[in-house]
Amino acid sequence: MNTTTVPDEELIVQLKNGELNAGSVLYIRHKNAVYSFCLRMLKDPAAAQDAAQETFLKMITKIQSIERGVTLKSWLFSVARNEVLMVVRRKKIISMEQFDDETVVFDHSTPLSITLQTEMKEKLLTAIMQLKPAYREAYLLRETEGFTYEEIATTTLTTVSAVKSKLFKARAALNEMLKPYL
Amino acid sequence: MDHQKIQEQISQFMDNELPKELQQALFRHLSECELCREFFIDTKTIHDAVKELAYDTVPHAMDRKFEVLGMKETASQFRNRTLTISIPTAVYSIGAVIMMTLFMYVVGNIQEKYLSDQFLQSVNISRQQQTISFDVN
Repeated sequence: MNTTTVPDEELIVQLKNGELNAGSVLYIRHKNAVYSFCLRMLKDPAAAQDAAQETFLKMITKIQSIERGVTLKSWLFSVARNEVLMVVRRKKIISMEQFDDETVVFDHSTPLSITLQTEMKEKLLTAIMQLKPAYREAYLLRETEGFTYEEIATTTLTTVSAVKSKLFKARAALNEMLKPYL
Repeated sequence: MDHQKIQEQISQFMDNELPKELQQALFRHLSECELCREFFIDTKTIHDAVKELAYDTVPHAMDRKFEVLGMKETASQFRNRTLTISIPTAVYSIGAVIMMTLFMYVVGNIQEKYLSDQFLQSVNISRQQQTISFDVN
């Protein structure tokens, strides 16, 4: 059977019935997206690995809790976000307040001119990493995962209007940071 | 005109979330306002570049952990399968082994009897030959 064409919904049913191969396919399919999200949120490869690992272990052990109508991707990123918050709490990588801080959109403490590399993609990634967590997560879920406003709101436990506002502020901040290179 | 409101609309336009009726007014404003036009171009440039950002690849250590997990599960599934042989299968298997042993025993006995008969026959022949040779002498 060519597992690459089997939709997530079908693989979830198979995994719920104890077919562990379905879990392997789902892991392979989503591992890099989940790990990238964790890494870009935490800026620490080891911490990102911890968070991503926990996310997939929960996928295997708590698969029964995924309700019909909820996409696996949305469920995975909700779990990954919680794991990121747990790692933040445990390792105190960034203060929890920064997740809800509406006053500052990006971190001025690391001048972009110093940290930026020669490649545009690296510059862009560096700029995204400098966004405050609350803006960064909304921006990453939208731009790299293609989540709708509703899905972002559900995943980040906020409202659609707050999502719109965060995306606008994230974009305005990125424009400002990357202006010299555009 | 409120530039921030227009720029919020630009952000929604990038996400295909701006209603059609607002798009016309937005583009009319962009044709007149250099500040917002610049915001639009910068946002679009970054929006397109982000789409090309590749995912980071998970470390091998993480893959290995999930491989080990998978192998454990496979092993336990295999153990379960060997333990759950049905009773008729077990009875047939034991019966087959007994039948095979009996068959081997019977064949062995026949062969042994045949060989011993042959041996005795050859001994008798050699004795007869010896008797003949003594007689001749």
